[in-house]
Amino acid sequence: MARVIWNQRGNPPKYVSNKLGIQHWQLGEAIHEIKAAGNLRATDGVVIYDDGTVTDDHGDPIGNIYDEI
Amino acid sequence: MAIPSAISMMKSENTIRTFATLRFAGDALDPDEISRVVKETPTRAYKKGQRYRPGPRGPEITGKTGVWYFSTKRKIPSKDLADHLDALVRLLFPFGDQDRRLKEIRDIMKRENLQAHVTCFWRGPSDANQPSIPSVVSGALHRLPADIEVDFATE
Repeated sequence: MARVIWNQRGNPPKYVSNKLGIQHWQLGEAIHEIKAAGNLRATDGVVIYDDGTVTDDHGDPIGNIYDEI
Repeated sequence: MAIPSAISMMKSENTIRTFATLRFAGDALDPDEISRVVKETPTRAYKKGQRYRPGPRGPEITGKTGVWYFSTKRKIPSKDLADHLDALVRLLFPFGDQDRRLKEIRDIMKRENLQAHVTCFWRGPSDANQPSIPSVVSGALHRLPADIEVDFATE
């Protein structure tokens, strides 16, 4: 069962990329692309799970961090 | 082996990363129509209600609205954001086109009630100057119209 590691607006801090085992800039790139491709604004909040899954504020999946790296 | 790895990581963190994206969105969007007009294959595209999988690890997703999305991330190797934005502007204003493509896209946007968005990503070392949007780019995108979102930060 994947666990939530980030559930806020804004850019996730380094501990989130550390949890995912990736560089912080890689996380930034991936979140930017997932949001834009999902028609979300940069200011929209997302939820990130420790398996890389990203959902929107409503809990609907919009992508996976590892697919964007 | 630990020392080269640490050096590699430091170099990686000190590198500028930048790209730009363009997307059209709307419930009536037909991705093939946008691709035909801009003469480019989208990075991702889907119609409203269409089931799609964004990647091998990602779950199947239902499009809440139609989206045609293009990213320069894997297309333009430059570390200068202006080069990435220029690539997007050329999709809308090809050389020698005399605004014919702009008119065609604007007609589609009006008919299908589409929105256009441009986003800019930039990450760089703490001592680097953050980029700015060239006025010629913001002026061109304003004519579409497309709004511009920036996501700039230093590591």
